[in-house]
Amino acid sequence: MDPLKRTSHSGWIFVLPGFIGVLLFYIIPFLISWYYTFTKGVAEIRFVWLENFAELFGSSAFVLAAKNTFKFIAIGVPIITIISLGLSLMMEDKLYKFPRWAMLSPMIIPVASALMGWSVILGDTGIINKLITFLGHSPIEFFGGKYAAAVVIFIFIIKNIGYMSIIFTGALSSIDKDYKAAFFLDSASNIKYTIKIVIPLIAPIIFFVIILSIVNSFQMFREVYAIYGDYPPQCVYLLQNFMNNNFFKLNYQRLSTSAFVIIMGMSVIVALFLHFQKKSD
Amino acid sequence: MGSLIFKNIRKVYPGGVVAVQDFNLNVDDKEFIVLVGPSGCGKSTLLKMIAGIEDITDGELYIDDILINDVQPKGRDIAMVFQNYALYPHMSVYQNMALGLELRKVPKAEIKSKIKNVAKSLQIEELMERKPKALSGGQQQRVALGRAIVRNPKVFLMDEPLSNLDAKLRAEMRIEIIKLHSELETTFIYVTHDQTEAMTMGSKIVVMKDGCIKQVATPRELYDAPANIFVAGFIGTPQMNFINVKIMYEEEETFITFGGFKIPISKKTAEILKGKNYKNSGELIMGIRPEHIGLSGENEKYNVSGIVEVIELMGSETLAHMNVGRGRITMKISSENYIKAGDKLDLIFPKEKLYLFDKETEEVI
Repeated sequence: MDPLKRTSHSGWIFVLPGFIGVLLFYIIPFLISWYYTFTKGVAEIRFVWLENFAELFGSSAFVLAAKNTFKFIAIGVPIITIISLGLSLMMEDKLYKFPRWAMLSPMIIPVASALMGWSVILGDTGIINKLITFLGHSPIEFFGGKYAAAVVIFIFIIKNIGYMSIIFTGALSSIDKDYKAAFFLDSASNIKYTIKIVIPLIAPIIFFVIILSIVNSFQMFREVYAIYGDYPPQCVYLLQNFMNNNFFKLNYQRLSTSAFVIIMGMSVIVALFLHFQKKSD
Repeated sequence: MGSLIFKNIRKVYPGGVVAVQDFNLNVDDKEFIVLVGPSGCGKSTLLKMIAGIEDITDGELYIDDILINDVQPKGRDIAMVFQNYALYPHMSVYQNMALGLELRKVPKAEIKSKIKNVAKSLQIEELMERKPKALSGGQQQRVALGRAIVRNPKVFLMDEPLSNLDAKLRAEMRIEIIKLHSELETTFIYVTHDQTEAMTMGSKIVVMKDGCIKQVATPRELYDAPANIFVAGFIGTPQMNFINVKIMYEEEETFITFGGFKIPISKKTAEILKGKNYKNSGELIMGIRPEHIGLSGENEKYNVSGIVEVIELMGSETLAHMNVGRGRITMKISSENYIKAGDKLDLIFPKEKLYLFDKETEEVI
């Protein structure tokens, strides 16, 4: 028997268990949802080409959810990226020490427990409002009204900073120390070093953090749902709320179409990054 | 100008690890100093202290008579070539060479002309647009040198710059760096663990061990007059043979004895031994370089017999590893002498080529 051929077969055996999982839980559902995207009906299925897309973009609920999600991402993701990179750079320079497990805790703590904690701080009778009333002002409704979006973004940032900092710390520690030494023979500026050397070197990781933060922003639905239920205030009605509502209404076609639009959006971002990275190489 | 003075330099890392201690040295302008020693001897730490990358725990460091302990790296006017070159991977060769000058706000036109001149002299003109990963080890080495040269610094620091190259390229680059030193007429401080590099390149060699200087001398002096067993063993390939011996004073002559053999030593050495009160039957360590052991003639009075254990043919020379008495020595002889394993040879240890070391202090007598 050709030993090389045998090796390639044994490779498949190693890959197979993982591949079956990916196939069952990701690839097949994705293909089914893709199929839903171009069809209508439950009992009698019709092929409708792009009609679902036209309906989706005509839906005021989708437009509102998309706008809110975009705003949420546009504000939250850059802040998370910049703050977590800054914290990691400070940790790298040993300006402060922080245990890694503590940085991961916002990700580990169950949503319900975390929200209980947040309500102790930001709730109508929470610490901050007690302080405000103590100072003679009327309490602020942080979870409702005009502050709702800001509070959700704030929770999103706090929840993600630690995890993203750990990713950045790993990336920074892989940078050859001699680069810094070589740079500092000609400049004493940490900012210049970060801009000219660190950021270009960890650009793929920065991009990874951005993508991961965007993905995590969709998961903020859990917090929003736990606080407000099916129909939150308009300013925090996100794409995930929209998709969740369509799931409960058994409108799988619309659910799949919006999921497809999100995936395409993400794919465009990834493709653009890879294009620019290849160009810079 | 680029003279350096080290006064009682000491480096202690957090946790109490002493990397460098009692380091005193004067480096003249335009000298080529090589710091050599085994891994962990503190030579790279010392280089980093000169560059300002590492703080100096104690002592004073002067460049051109200016105390620079607290001067930032960029204020020291120093360029450094790193072991792994430290070329920024996202920048082209040109950008790598230009960055240091850009950071120092040198006009663009001047940067361009400087890089052009240096690139021409290093024969890297055609590599300007390439990224470091598209270069061979030798090319990366040249670019790293180029990046240092364009800065026109007072002092060049080189941290084992040839260690990542293959033997042939290393030999070529050795010559290039020697030529570069004579062209640039600047002070070079070069760190290596390779004694061949040290011997061939340095105008002065600093041999270090455990953070301390063991000897500072020219290559010739280090080879001919090592100050202690460490230097004697470190400089020279294959390394010097060391044998435990005893002193035997006789009326006419003084001898050393080992394994039933008796070898005369020079009158001068005997006088020194007597002057330093070494007693009859006192123990010493004798050193002799493999290339200084000869085959005995027929009428030699004081021979040492050895049995060849292993032969290594190196080309024009042969290394013979031999059992002598209860010890083992290596002899380097011309390959014209046909010897083979198992041969019994009579050897001569010329008295003027013997080194005697104190057994306690390991210093030369």
